[in-house]
Amino acid sequence: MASITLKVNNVVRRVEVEDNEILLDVLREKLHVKSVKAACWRGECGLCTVMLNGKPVKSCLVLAVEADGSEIVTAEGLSGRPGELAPIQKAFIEHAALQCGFCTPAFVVVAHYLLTKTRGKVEREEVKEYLSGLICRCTGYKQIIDAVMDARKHYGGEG
Amino acid sequence: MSSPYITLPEFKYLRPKTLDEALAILDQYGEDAKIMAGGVALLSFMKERLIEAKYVVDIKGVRELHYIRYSEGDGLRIGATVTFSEIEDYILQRGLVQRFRALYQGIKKLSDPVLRNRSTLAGNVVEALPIVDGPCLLSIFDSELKIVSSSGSRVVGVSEFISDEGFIDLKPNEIVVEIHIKDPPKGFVSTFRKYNPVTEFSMVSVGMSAIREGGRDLRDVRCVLCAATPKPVRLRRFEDLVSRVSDLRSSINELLSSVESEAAGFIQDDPYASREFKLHIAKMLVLDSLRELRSL
Repeated sequence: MASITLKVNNVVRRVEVEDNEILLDVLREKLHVKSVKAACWRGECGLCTVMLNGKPVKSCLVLAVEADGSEIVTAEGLSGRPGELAPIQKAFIEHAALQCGFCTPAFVVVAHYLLTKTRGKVEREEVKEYLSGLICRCTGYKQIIDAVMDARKHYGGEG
Repeated sequence: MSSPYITLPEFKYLRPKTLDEALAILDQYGEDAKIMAGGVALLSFMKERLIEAKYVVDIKGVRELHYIRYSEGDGLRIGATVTFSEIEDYILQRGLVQRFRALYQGIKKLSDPVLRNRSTLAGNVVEALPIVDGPCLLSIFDSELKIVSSSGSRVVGVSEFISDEGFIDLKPNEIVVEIHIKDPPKGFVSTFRKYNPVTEFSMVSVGMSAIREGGRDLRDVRCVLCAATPKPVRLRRFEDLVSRVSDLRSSINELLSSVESEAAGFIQDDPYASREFKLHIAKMLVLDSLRELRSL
């Protein structure tokens, strides 16, 4: 058992973890951050993606102990302001870019990162490419891509 | 608490802060210790119980292994913990895309952008499975690995690092600390293509480079066939032939049959595709690559 400290959505949390526990399980089961979804546990579906020290990573392939001292942002904390949505989250609602919603937290995290990094200057093909590590089994992706393209204007792009 | 479905076996996590400390751990624990850089392959294989480790040695805390630099004449030097995303960004920001085009193309096609924030080139090369692209990308260039143990260091070429059967030349007390991609000569052009119909993993891939000086004629062509072979394989008879033909169009059949006869020795049937199919794909990839290099 090791005691680690994580800053999750701007709140400092201390938690006891085993060396072989993955970040995904600790976030969900011990810290109750339930927007982070567990599905494949092997880096394929991407639905456990969180921002780790500013970059999106698949949390099923990160050990909890190695994240000690890190800053983690999930869909709950994307806007940086409690109770508010980030522009990409609003765009997902406007475009109905979800059906069951299981994949949505991961998509908004990765899309928010891409739009922030590129200041909204990104083409449709690049959006598709950047989201290619995430799997959605309902929407067929069109509405998701549309939402991201539309949200560009809120990140400095043309939208 | 751990996942109900896919768990990691028990191990002790170690996070050295210096290379010396990491090497001392390897000296102490030998094969019981496994180095983790990005961890993408290691953790996946441990979950599948394909790799055992009593000690997981995370080298991401070793600052001296996290660097990427380019200098003219020397080339690219990439430390063991540098991720694919970091290489991609560096090549783009430093205006090196043309110089290391095949490497850049290969990275953009490797798994997905989120995984590339964790996976490392060094880890990929040590993994050395035919289906991963790292060794292939390095084989298109003149590349070397710097390998260190507590008793010294050595430099080995990528093609010597992986045996003909696909095993790597790395002892349990050694760490690959640096990848050196030598600066390509003037007029160097390169390209990488992969055929991966089902997953992100390659079924057949081809890397090609050449020197182009004015006109469309290529010399010093290097053609590397990967993924369908246990390790990246140079198609030397094809390379020799293509450097001698002046008119590509009239020699196309001759070139392709040379690829086929040479590649046939390395490609086998497997549950995913027949040998015949993979040979066909290999020829198409070679042809496309050749066309592309002539038009660059």
